[in-house]
Amino acid sequence: MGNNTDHHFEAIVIGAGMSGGWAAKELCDHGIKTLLLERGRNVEHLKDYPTTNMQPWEFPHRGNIPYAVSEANPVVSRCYAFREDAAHFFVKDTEHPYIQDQPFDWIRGYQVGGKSIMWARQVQRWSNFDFEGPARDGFAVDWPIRYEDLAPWYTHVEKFIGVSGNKDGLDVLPDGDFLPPFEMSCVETHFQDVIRNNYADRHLIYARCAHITEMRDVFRKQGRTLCQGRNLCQRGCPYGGYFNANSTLIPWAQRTGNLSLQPHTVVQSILYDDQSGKATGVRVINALTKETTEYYAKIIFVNAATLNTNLILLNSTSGRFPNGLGNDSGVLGKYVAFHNYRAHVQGIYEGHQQFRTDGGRPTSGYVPRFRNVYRQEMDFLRGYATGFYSSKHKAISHRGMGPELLDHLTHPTGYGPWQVSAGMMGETIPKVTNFVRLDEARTDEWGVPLLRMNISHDDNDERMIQDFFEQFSEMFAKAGFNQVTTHDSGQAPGLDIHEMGGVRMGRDPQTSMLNQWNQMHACPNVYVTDGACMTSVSTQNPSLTFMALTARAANHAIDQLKEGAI
Amino acid sequence: MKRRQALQSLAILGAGLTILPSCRTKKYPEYRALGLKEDQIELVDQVATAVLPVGQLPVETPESRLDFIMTMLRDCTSPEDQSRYKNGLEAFQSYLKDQFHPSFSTLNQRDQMKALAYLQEGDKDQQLFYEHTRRWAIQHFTTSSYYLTNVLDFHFVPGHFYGCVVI
Repeated sequence: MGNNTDHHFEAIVIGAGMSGGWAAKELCDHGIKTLLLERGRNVEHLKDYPTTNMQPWEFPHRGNIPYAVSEANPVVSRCYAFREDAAHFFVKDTEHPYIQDQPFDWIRGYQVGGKSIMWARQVQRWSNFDFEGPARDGFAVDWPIRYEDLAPWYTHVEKFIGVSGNKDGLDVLPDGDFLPPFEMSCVETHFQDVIRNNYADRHLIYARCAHITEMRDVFRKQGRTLCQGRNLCQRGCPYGGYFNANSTLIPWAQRTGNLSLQPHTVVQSILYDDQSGKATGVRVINALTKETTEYYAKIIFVNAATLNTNLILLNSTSGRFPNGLGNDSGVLGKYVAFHNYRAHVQGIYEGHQQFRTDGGRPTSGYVPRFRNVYRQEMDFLRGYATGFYSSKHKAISHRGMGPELLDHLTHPTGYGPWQVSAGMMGETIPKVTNFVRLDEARTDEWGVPLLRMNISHDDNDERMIQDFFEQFSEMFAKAGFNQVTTHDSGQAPGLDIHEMGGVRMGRDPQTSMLNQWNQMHACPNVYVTDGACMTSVSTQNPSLTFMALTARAANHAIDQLKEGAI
Repeated sequence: MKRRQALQSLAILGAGLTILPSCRTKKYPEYRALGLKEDQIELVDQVATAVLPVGQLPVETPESRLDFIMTMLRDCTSPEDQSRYKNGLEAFQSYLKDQFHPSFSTLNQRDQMKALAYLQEGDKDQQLFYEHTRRWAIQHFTTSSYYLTNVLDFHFVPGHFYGCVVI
């Protein structure tokens, strides 16, 4: 429970994940008494990472998920990180059901820290090619901000979380405030040269990641230290080597004395007062006792994660807003988009045979978007960024049995060829037909309506996949990679864990929910700054942009509060 | 092992007080749900040892190889494949009996290999029994501290990354 017994605060933040953590941190830093609500349990840095120091042989199933668990929870079991070492940080399908009118793999982390504990830690900035995309290409609505509005907030966030990267000088992927990069592998360097020599507009760079590679005073104050390259981040890091809300934002906000963190609290709805024309607080349900109560504040940040933010707003009905809070336009829940992660190209490389990598590194290579950047030139809209992966392993045969098998296993025959692969990260187009809504009859065990998913790929996605296959097959061939094959996983939307939109920003209250400060057009003391606010999705991993938008909006809210405007 | 011994002691104590239901695996109560007899479980151990005879190598793991195999069979295998595994195991027992082999473990290595070759060429259930046992034996060995540190380049905390080192 918070320490404020009269249930009144200056600010309420719904959701203690990555973006909610940023809202709480900024508000508390500026002396705002803040209640941070989290529907799941508390997860304290270090204390609640039970597997973080377990060796591979200490897991009873060596990382595998028991059959009964994966059978009962097919959606979460499709997530790459849902393994024995981190399964306790994921919501099981059976615990929180939803309705798939179309297949949608909804991957969730209900706990303090949210999905920031298990995220992939890739942090690429957006550019104006992204913010100007919808207006130029005629989809969604124009973003009410441009890169210049967000750039200082990107820097603000990067300095605090720690981002390892190179200054690449690319207009498609602006540079930031970077800590030193890890080395590139020799095959990445080779592929980088091949791309540079063959394509004027394509680049392979070091993928920027939220890891500390050089000590700075701010990290010392946070109690974090350098990444050790374990690649076990999804368990929570004993060094605080990567950024998550638990190691960085929440303890920081707590040290101000202004934060009341309250886990196990499900927000049922946001309360609205007709007289003042403002939200007054939240109605919550104790997740354990099911007891209902209310909390009140002058400003409310909604950071419940994209689709749960949609759910809460849709469920926040009143005489003024019969279709959900702030939903005069009717767009709430609509124009949801995601990233197309279906496509991979793989191969082997028999060059650089005398070399291998040594040690561990938490990132990969990255090819920023090169399609339709300066003008529309393909038969599909927008484009894709690409992750590039290279690895080399000892050549170990599993053939035979008896002493012969033992001999094979214990005497590797040198190293195999380099394994290379490229993974597409495609932009999808937000459409009115991709939406979520509340079920009219079914509720969860807390009495909150179940969410219904209507989100799917379209022809634009299919054409983009074909282009990705053609282009990376060609690029791999030029690099001398062999046995090149293409793979379409056919996975449903959601498994990218990059769902965005439904509460989009825009200039016009008739076609959008939020203004340029992430304030609701129709209820200005409510801010939405998680993935739900996104007008379009670009190709970049979105968390850095959520954090920058949140920090910017929180500082706007602080100014508004101080001016008495909200 | 200690847990198993403790449970075993409890079962023996309990037997004096109540009439236990027909218990096929008194020695392995944690795997009772698999419905395997004690001699069948021990045959799995013998097959695993024949397939991958690690001998005197210091393969220290929290559980024995047999416990790992039985845990994977119990927890990470579909009921259908569990049933097929059992069928394959039973068929192998029949084969050994037909061949007048009193015990797999007492066969010399050549005869053991011959028997395993028969399994590999047997019906689908026999092949499944062989392949699963073999796979889990390999997995147990190749995820051990001994293997990861002596054969592979495993470092739990690397603390560095070099992108291009000469082999």
